[in-house]
Amino acid sequence: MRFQFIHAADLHIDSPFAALGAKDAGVAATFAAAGRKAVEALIEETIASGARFLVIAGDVFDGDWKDVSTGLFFARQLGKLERAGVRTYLIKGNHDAENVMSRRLDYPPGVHLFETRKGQTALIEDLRVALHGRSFADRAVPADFLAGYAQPRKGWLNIGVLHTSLDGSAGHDPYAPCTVQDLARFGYDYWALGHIHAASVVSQEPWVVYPGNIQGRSPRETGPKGAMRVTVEDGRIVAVEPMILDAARWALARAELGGLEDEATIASAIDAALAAAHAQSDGRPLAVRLTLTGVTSAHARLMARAEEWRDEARALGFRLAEDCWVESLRVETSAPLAVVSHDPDALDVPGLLTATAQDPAFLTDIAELVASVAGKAPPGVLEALAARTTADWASRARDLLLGAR
Amino acid sequence: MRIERLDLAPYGRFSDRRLTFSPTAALHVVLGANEAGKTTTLEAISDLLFGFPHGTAKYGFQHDQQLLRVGGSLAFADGTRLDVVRRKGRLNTLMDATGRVVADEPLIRAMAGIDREAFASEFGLTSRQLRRGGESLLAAGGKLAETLAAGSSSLSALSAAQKALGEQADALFTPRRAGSKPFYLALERHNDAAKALKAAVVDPSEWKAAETALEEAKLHGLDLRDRHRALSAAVARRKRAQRVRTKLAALAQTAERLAALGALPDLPATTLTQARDALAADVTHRKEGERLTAEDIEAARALADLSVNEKLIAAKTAVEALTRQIGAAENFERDLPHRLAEEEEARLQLDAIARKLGVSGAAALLAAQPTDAELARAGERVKQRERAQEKRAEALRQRGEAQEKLARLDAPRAGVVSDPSRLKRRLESFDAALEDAKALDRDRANLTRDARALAEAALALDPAVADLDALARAALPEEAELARRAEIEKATEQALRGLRDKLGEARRKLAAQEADLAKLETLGSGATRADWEAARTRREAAFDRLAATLDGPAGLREERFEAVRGLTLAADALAERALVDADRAARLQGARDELAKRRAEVAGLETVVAEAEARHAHEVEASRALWAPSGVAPHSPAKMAGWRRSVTNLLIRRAELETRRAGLDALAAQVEAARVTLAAWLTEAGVTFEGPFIALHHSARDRLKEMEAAWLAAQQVEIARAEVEKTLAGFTGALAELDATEATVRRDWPAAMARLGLRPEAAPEEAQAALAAWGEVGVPREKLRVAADRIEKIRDGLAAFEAEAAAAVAAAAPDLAGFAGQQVAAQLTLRLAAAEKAAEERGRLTREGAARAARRDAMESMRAALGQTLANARTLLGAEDDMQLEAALAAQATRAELAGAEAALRRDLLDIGDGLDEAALRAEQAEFDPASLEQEIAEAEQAQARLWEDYKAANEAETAAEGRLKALAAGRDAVGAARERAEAAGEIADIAESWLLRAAAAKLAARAIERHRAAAQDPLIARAGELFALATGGSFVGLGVDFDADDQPVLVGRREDGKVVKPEGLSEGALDQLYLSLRLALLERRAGEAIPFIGDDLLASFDDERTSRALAMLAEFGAGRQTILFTHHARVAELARKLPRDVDVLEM
Repeated sequence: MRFQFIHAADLHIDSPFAALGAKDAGVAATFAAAGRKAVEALIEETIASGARFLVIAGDVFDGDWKDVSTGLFFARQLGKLERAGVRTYLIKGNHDAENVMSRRLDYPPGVHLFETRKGQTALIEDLRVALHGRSFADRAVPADFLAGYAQPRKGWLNIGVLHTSLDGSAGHDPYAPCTVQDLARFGYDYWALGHIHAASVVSQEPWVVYPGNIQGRSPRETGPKGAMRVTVEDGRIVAVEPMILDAARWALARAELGGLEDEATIASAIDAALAAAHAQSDGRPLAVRLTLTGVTSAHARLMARAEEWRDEARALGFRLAEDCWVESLRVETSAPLAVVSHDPDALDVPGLLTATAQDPAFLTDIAELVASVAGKAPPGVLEALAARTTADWASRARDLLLGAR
Repeated sequence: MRIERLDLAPYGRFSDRRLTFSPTAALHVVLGANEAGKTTTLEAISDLLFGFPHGTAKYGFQHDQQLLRVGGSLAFADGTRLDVVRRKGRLNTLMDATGRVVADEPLIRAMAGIDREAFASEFGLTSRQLRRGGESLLAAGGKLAETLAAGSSSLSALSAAQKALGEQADALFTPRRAGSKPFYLALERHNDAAKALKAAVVDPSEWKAAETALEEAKLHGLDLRDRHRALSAAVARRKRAQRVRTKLAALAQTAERLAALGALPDLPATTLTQARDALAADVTHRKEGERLTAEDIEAARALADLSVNEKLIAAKTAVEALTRQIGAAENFERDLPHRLAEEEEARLQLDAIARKLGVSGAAALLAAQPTDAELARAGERVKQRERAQEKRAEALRQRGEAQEKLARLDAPRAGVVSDPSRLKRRLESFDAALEDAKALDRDRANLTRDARALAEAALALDPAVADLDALARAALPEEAELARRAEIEKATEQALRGLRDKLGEARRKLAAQEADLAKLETLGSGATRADWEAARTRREAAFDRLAATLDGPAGLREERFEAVRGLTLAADALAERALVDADRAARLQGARDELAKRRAEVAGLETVVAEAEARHAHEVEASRALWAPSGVAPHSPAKMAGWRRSVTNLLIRRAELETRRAGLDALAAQVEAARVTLAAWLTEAGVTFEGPFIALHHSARDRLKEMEAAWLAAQQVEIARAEVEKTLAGFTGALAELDATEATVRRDWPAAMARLGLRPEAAPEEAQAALAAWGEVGVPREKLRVAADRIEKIRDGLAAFEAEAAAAVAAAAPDLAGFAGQQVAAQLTLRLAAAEKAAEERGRLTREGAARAARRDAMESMRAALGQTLANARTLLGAEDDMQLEAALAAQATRAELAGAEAALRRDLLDIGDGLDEAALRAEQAEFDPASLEQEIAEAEQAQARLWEDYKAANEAETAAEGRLKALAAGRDAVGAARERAEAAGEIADIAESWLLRAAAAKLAARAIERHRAAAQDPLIARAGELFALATGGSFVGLGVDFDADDQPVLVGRREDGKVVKPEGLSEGALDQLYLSLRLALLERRAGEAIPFIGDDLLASFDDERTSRALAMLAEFGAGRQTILFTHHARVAELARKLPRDVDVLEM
């Protein structure tokens, strides 16, 4: 017998996207719509591909998102699966556990939501599939969380559904920490994991798989996004393939400007970097974070005119496609090392500025400036600003000044 | 680095131009007029140092771009040199003289990061930049950091960047909230979005409440609907009962009436209809027959009354023609009196004219009237006579005027006027002499001024020379001799001064030793051995005196004893002091010995000095002796050597003056000779005048002008006279012509007069009057003719009309014979109309009678057919006559009508009885009291309407609740609000970063400028002060730092008296000087190779004095680094040459 099921996770429906810096409401709206579009694509693709069931390994919603209409949207989508005869197996992740709205949501009868109190097994008799799973009750996960999962059912295809960061993936809070070996010991055929937003096949014996989230929401979540299509033949998993579902995409582009000086060649390099990023967008709306790197004598000018260059890059992006948007431009170039006189009296302005920029009194000035603006902004908004060192600000200020003279 | 040579070959407008800069000069002034290539040269220096800019070269307009070359020789501080040629291109553009590529590292190293732009801004300065610099100092308000920054173009750029970035930062964000700033706008957007998000989120409790509300609304609606239905049913039954009640009653009544009709035969409806129709038609036909008979009788009576005038109708054409002429005949009769009056008026006018011309009446006048041609000819004769008379009078008047003018021209004139052209040519020959005379005056004045200057220069010498001429003759010592004497005197004087110094030194030492000795002497007792020995001797003598009184009185003994004791004590004290001061005494002694020696030395030196003085005096005297022959009282030979040089110069100038004077004397002699000749000219011209040559010449020129004017006036009189004589001759001919014309006119005159009816000798005036009278005849004559013509036509028309009227009367109305035509015509017209009307009426009556007869015939046949139908009907209905037949038919009709009504009532009951049968309806009637039924219905309907309103409201509430739930399900775009919040947060972060960067950069710039000030201030201000003192010619002695009200250091100028002046107290020029001083001082402080400083017409706006001082400052600055000043003012070059410095002036 041969059939397919879909493994998805981390839908985070209606979770806001990172700022695009777009004054144009059209650009922002396109990206905002992408989140729900990806969910709809998941349902449509699941039905169209003839999959027998859908597994969602947690974090359907965002933790602090209370809007009931989001839940209703999801329920409507599951209703479509129900009508198409596709069953859904769902666990709550850490975000869902926190979510007030999801607790009261009425799912269609064909949706199986795993309990929180203990591990639970759901059986699909006709396919001889046993799904083992457990939802998060709240943020705090008991130490023996995994221990509650049942023994595999012999002769059946055993699938474990778990929301975990495994052994603490970088950049993520540890949730239900465990190792691949811990999972392997269960003797399941497939571990359908959620929580990590980057897709990865952690192991093939047994299969331990993160499908990643279905829609990138910030410049940290670049590249194609979607779910995993798993093919089972005679009770064995024979293929695990990614299924691309995202409706908009994020990319990081780097323009290497080493040795480039004049504006025309710099613009060409930017154009080339954007074109390369855009080529990876598969025709989807694209938000690009562009970073300029390399050692160039144009560094100071780039610093001084960063905003003009950002607008220029946006214009170049629009030339590639009307939905190719440059989210931001970061000037990370550096100036060639210059012979700098440290005699402040010698009218060597670059030297004078370099020396002054290292002055502790000036670094104190910067700290005061940072504090004065940080105090006026809403909490959390200026974290990135505060994260830079005063020395870094000092050198950027110097470069700006050199470029502005 | 110094530019020692610059080759422009080819470059700009130059094909091959070399500028060589003196290597030792403190200042190079490159003088070139505008367009001389100054700017080109400036550009060339940059091209040499930094290479040609890419693209088309600015100064390549005359040459092939690729052939442009600029070469030069550069000397560096470390002693190395670079002789190179620069070509246009991107790589390897530096070559040596042979065209070999030369490495450009030495040049790049020397320029140490200075690019073309920095070179121009930092090391170059124009007068405009200088002025702007001065203004920027004023703007800095003396604040030291800003002022120093303003002094350097790179620091002032930094200062400008600081300001710009600070403003940009302030525009983005200030810690103090300002709603218009982007940061706060974004913050507000963020807060609004956060609020909107909060409002947009649909929370579960809200959802639940909406669901409950919908459920309740639905239940409420259902309840109301059921109640409404029940009430509707009750109302319906009552209404039905009320509705059918009348119908039921009518039905019962109809049944009763049918029964009352009893049994009637049942005949087909068509049979009954035919019978009814036949009965009705028969009645109709009978009545119409009666009407036709009455009409026949009436028509016969009318015909009998009618009479028709057949004759008149036969004469209809003639009568109508007459009628048409009535209007014309009336017009003729109205017009005739007017025409007769016109005829009479014309005749009277002609009679009046006939009287004027002496003719008997109008008829005679018309008979005698001349033709128009004859009148025209007579008129022409009259005009000819008048014109001839006028011309004669005008010719005589003009001849009189000409004769008067001739008499005036011939009036005698004073003096004889001759042609002055010969005298003029002679006067022109004095032009050269006039120039000589002027030159003589000018040169004499110059000579006098120079002689005075020479005399003053001589007097200004020390010793003064009152008489340079005498000195020129005197024997003066040679300069060499004076120099030798000076050497000798200097030697003797130096020797003397040396000896005097020595003597002075010895005397000082002597005085010091004497002072030391005096001090030693006062400090100690001065107990010498001799003192001590003297004391001992005095004590021994006292002992002796005591011994002599041992036997004497006790008082004396005691006294002597006391004396001994006193002396002993004194001697002892001396002995003790002598003992104690032995060393001091020894030193005292030594000092005294030394003093004696020193005195001897001083004495010796004094002798030597006296000898040296004598020697020196001798030499001085010898020197003075040199001057004895000339009588000059000399100073020292050294000074006199200078004096001698000055005198030599003065004597050379004197000799030059003498030569000029001799030349002038010769010129004066020439001028005098010319003057004598010119005086003779004047005499010849009739003027006596004495004076110098130039005055004579002026006088001669004036005289010549007078003579020329007089000559011209005489010539003009001659021309006028000739013209008048020519005019007079012309008049004689003209009068003769007039005589001939008049003769011809007189000959033709009598014939012309005869045609006018005048005598042959009639005057022109008479002829004029006759002509006028004949001219008046035309109008009345024409009027008379037209009136007569018209009268004749009227009379003919009236006669014809009367004849036609008479003919018509004869034919159709003999009773009208004897009446006037117009009356006849009117009467006949009326009669004709009446006759025609009667004829028409007769025709109509006849036609109608025929139609009635036809109608009657048709009716008779129709009545015969109806009779059969009626007979059949009577048989069927059992009627004996038509009356009974009519009653039987009426009974049949009533029965049919009642049956129809009954059927209609039953149909209605079926319609309004909601399908109930009659029995059910009659049963229902019994349930209600008809009296209160209406009331019951009204009340129930009111209740029903109320319920309906409630139900509608409940329905709406349900729809609304449903809509709310749907809206909640669709959401309130919380996602959009969240997105807006995220975007606003992003914008805040962007603005904050942008602000922070700019604020930090502005701060950094301020700190950097301050840092530079702190480091550079003191030496910089000291040096700038020196330059400023030079530039202001000592008006300021330097610069200093003061503190303002905010305790900020400010730059001030210092005066010699210690007073300070702030920049705002400086004049514009002084500010410029200050700026220049600061710029130059800052440049001096630059580390590394000293790069040349280039001023471009820097001092254009300065006056001479300020220019001189600025040049002095530039030269002072130029001692340290090459300073090149381009200028197009020759005056600047001139002033530069006067500087006591090595100044190199190059001309383009």
